[in-house]
Amino acid sequence: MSKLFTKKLGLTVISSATALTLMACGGAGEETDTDNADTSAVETEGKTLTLGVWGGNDAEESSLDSLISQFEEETGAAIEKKVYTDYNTQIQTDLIGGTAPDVFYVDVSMFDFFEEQGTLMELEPESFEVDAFYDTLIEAFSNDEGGLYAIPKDMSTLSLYLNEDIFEAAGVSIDEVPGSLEEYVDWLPGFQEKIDEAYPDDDVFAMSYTPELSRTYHLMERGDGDVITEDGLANLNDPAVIENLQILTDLKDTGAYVTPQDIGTGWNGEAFGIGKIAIMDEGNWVYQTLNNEFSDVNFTVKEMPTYKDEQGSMMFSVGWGKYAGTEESELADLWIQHATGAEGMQEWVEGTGTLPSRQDVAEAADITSNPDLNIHLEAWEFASPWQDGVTLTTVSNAFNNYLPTVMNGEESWEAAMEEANSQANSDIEAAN
Amino acid sequence: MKKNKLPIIHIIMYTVLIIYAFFTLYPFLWAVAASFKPFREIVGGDLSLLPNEFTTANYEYIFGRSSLFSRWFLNSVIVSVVGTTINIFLNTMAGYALARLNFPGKYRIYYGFLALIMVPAQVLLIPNYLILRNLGMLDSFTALILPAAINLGNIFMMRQFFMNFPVDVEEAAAIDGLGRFQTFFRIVMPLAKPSISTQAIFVFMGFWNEFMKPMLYLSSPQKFTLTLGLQTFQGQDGGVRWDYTMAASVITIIPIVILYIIFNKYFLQGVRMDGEK
Amino acid sequence: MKANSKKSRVSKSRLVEWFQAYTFLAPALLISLVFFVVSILFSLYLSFNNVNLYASTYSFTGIENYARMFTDGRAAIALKNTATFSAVVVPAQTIAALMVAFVLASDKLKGRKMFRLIYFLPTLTSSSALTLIFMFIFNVYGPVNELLLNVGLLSEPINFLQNPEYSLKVIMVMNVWSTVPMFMTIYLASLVDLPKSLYEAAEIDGASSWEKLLYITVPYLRPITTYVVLMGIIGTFQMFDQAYIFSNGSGGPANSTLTVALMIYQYAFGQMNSMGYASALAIMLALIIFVVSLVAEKVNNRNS
Repeated sequence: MSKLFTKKLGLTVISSATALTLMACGGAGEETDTDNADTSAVETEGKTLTLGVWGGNDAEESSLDSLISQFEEETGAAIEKKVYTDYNTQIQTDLIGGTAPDVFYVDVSMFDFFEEQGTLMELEPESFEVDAFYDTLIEAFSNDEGGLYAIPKDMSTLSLYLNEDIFEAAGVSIDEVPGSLEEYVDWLPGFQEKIDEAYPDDDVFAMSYTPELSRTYHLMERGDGDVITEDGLANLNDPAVIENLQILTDLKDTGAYVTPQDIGTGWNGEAFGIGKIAIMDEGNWVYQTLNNEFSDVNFTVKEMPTYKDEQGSMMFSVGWGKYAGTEESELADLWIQHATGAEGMQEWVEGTGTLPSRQDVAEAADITSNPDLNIHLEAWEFASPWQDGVTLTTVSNAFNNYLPTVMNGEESWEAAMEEANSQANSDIEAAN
Repeated sequence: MKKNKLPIIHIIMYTVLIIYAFFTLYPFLWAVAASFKPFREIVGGDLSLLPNEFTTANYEYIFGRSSLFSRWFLNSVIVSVVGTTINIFLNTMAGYALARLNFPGKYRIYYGFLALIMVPAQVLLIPNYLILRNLGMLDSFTALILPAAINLGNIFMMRQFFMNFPVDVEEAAAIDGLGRFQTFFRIVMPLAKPSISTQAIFVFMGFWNEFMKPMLYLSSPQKFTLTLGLQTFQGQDGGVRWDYTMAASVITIIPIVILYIIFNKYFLQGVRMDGEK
Repeated sequence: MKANSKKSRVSKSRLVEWFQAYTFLAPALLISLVFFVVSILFSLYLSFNNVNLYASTYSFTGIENYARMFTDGRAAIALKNTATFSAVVVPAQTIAALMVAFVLASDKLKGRKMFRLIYFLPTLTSSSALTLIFMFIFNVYGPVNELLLNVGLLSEPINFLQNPEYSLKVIMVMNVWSTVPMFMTIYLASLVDLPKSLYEAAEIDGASSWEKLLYITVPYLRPITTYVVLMGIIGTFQMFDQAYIFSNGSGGPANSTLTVALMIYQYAFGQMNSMGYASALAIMLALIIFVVSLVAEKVNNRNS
């Protein structure tokens, strides 16, 4: 029985290796041999592995299901999928109760927390072809001592989306869009005027922003800015951070810079899709939304504008982590290898429209030939991962809480950030 | 003089009632309308109660989404019906004892229950989870029903109802030679029908709309309740899917509205206590 | 109370009464013991410790968690928001529920079944779905702003959801709107039992509707009002769902929708991992609710 299985698996490896070679991707092909060595030693038939995931869109769900059935076929093991609807509450309850799944999604922003709590089992870098991944992401899922605790399954970055229809109606060429945020301050009022002329009865705005730390973090970190200190304390009232934030109020003062909520929509994707926003910065997940739900909108994707002469963006990622209390450690490794291996990841990104966390897959999956997605992909080089120690959520809550008061003109940056900072730090200090 | 005044009062009264009815209905009408609109139209800020572009795609999506849909529906019905039946008896019995019977420790128990209602639910979540895990009840309907087999608020409500309950009913039953237990089940409970149906609806709704408990206690999709099942198609990023959410809300509300209409008959026409009937 | 000579029979019937009482209360007592008392004792224990539930480590810290509340600015804000919320919502929902029930109980009213059915609808829906609908209705381009603009009460739409000045008020409106029907129904169920002869006697004396409400209905409903007020206090002090969905869990903007229950949740399920502090907050909240309820009950009973 196990012989048959090994044969089956061997065949798969051979075929996947061939496929990879065909795609001119030799590096990964050699490394699949390590897979083979590992897997043949493991008895998998009849075992059950539990995966903890959160609900994605249809494409994500069917891609995951397809990965699961392949895995079940190859290993003879059964997979139980646990779909979280309120991930933060449920995974914490599961971890505390000792009922957590063997392998589960770990958001990069929560990684430090999970790792520090000892809920994740360390992974062997050699077993997972870590060299093929973008190193920023591997670092993000490693602790300070360099131990690897989760493997990124995909990634997302922020880029700039331009609504071509609005530009056309306003008689402005897309090439006129400035390259730096500083230039936007002077350019936006004129653009807004032309929009207002083109849409006299509608409130259409030149540009939108999402008032959250997860979107402004990279701006705040420019130059000497440091949002969270090395001790994990909030540093929001630091003069360098406040100086970096100034651009947001400068943009807001143009009258052309709004939040999706300001114009009665839930998020950027909606606001842009219904044609109320000409420019937004958003993650590549919006690409699918725009194509599926708002297919009549013509848009193009550009690089994020520079700020303080530096390029910047945000990078988000979700990894597969192995539960520290798992009894199916080897099977869990096999699953992670399967889902984040070159072949599995290619299927995943092609099915879901997300970006791969491996360079070899980016080439193989032909993402580079889609100019829009390629912009997102190339942002990995300068994007900041959405991660900054275990206190990030606390600092982020405090910042998000006070940001609107500044943007609405009720408080100065200094006053609001002072309050946000002391709110965050009193929580952080009390917890220590 | 009095007759001239009445119509004006009536007009005002009806106007207020109708305006209030409109404010109550509007969100529902909007939700129903939205459930037949395409996503783009909903987020486009169109406030009309009639869809421009009528579509049943949202319902098709939800029903087609999972083969387990009817199963979830059935699970919700089972949990709600069983849970409500148990609650009706236990709450009414406890409320009756606290209002009508004399026994040592009565007020201590009453204030004890009152104090327990005041403990915020958020803090009971994790301890309850650990208790249920130790009892081996996770991922079962028992986990949903047992901790909620009584409802302290409803015990309290039944007690307040029985405070106004006429003594002569029990006395008459005693004269007829009925024992205490017989009196309760044969005479008192039927007479308390209006309050019991009120309670039944609240308890049923509590089970039907319960979200936190299924979310934490259930893990197998075959055991999901409707509220939990419908949540599984909500993506993690990218805002609220109004189209599906509204269709899902309409689906969850309809059974309970039907139930309410059925119960409404009994609801407010209980037996008069003043001998008119 | 009955004849003293039949002492032995009386005490026997008393024993039967005790037996009945304890039998009737046993299931409720057992369940509350397992799922409430044990859980609360556990929370009480947690509240005196610095807790890491992941690693199951507890270190006794005495009253540190309780002392922390008094220096925690957010706790003060949360308590102020919660108390304000309760002070507005409880009287509003109680009075509105009583008035509507009184009107609907009148036999003269035509179409009262229809009205009852409509008014009851909000109670049938889960609070999360309702909150989402309300957020849509109150958004900048939503129906409420549209209405106020058309009537001329506003010259410019208000951003109800993002402006700290309005966000809590929107939740108040939402809460009153969705709780009135429930309490109205409870009042109605009790009004059915109100002897008609009382009203008839009052009508002969020439009492107006208002006087009937004030001197017959209100006193008759006093035990129910006690229930409604206490449940209102408990419900408002524990308000969580609406604030959570409204602010996406942050209690913003500018802590304007931060309630004590939301704060407890943040500490229990956040990266802060402060289960001990969360438990201390919860126990403090329970104590506050208890005191406020006792005062309210005293006031309600004194008025009789």
